[in-house]
Amino acid sequence: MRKKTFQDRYEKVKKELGSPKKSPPEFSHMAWRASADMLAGIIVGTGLGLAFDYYMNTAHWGLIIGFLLGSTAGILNVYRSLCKVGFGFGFETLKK
Amino acid sequence: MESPLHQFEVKRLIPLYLGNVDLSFTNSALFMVLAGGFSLLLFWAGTFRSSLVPGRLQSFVELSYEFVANLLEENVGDKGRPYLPFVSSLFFFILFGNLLGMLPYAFTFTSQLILTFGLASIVFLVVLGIGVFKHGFKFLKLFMPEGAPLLMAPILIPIEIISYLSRPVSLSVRLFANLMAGHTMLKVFALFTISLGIFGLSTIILNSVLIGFEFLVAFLQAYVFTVLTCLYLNDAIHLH
Repeated sequence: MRKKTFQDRYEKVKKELGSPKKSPPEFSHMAWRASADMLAGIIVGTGLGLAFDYYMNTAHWGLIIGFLLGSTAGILNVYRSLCKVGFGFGFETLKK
Repeated sequence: MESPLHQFEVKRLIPLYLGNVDLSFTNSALFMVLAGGFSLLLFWAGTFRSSLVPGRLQSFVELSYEFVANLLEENVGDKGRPYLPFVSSLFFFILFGNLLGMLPYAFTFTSQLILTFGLASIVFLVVLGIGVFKHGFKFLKLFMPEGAPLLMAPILIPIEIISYLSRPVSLSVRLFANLMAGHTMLKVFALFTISLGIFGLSTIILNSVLIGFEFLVAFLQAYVFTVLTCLYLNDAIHLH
């Protein structure tokens, strides 16, 4: 059997650890980030809907549609930010 | 007993009114000046007598400069180099704000939502300006995902626009919420120390651990803000 050189051991450890950049960040940080993204989408969507109602006198329709669109945008934000740090699944990961 | 939220109160140090506009110099403004001044002083002192073989201070300054430069290089690439002054001044302003806030009796200006929202809006407007200036009308392609059927456009475009507009909100809420939560938590445990008497020793131990954690958060949040700025810059410069 061939004696293991330093290079072999180095390659083996490197393979086991993977590249350092791709290690997923701490879970609690991801939770913080996801909640901020989700909230931001809802706040902006609902705010735009309310503003539309206020100026156009279309009481409540803007709020309802704005909230729905905002929630969707929030989910989209969370999905995108998770994809960026390696928790991705679905179509965003198929792109590359 | 003092409220744990008392530390976030903005006080007028030098009242100044122009007509109806309140331009008073507050404790928040004082610490912003200090943060800017300290970062300038650090870089000035580090490069004051620059030698070929750097001393301790000079290598610290050079390392911190290279840290931000590498961050920009990794996330944006070569085309991001002109924006290094903007990104690195943002990073050091927030970092020094967070770190100065860790001193006793200091005011943490990054725990004010209006300030973080102001910073995030600056980033948003700068990125929007760069995108429109570089790509002109093509920049609007950002709002329609590639390959989506045209029939879906009435739903997709509003969602993408809301998602784009929510960037500064999430950027600012993240920084503000982390700093505010951390400092409130420290204060709450510090108040327990007094009221628990002899058992207060346990909260002292807990607080000293939390302080270390807060230093991590102070650095990490400045880092996250900068990384996200770089990512938004990348989106605007490369357009997918």
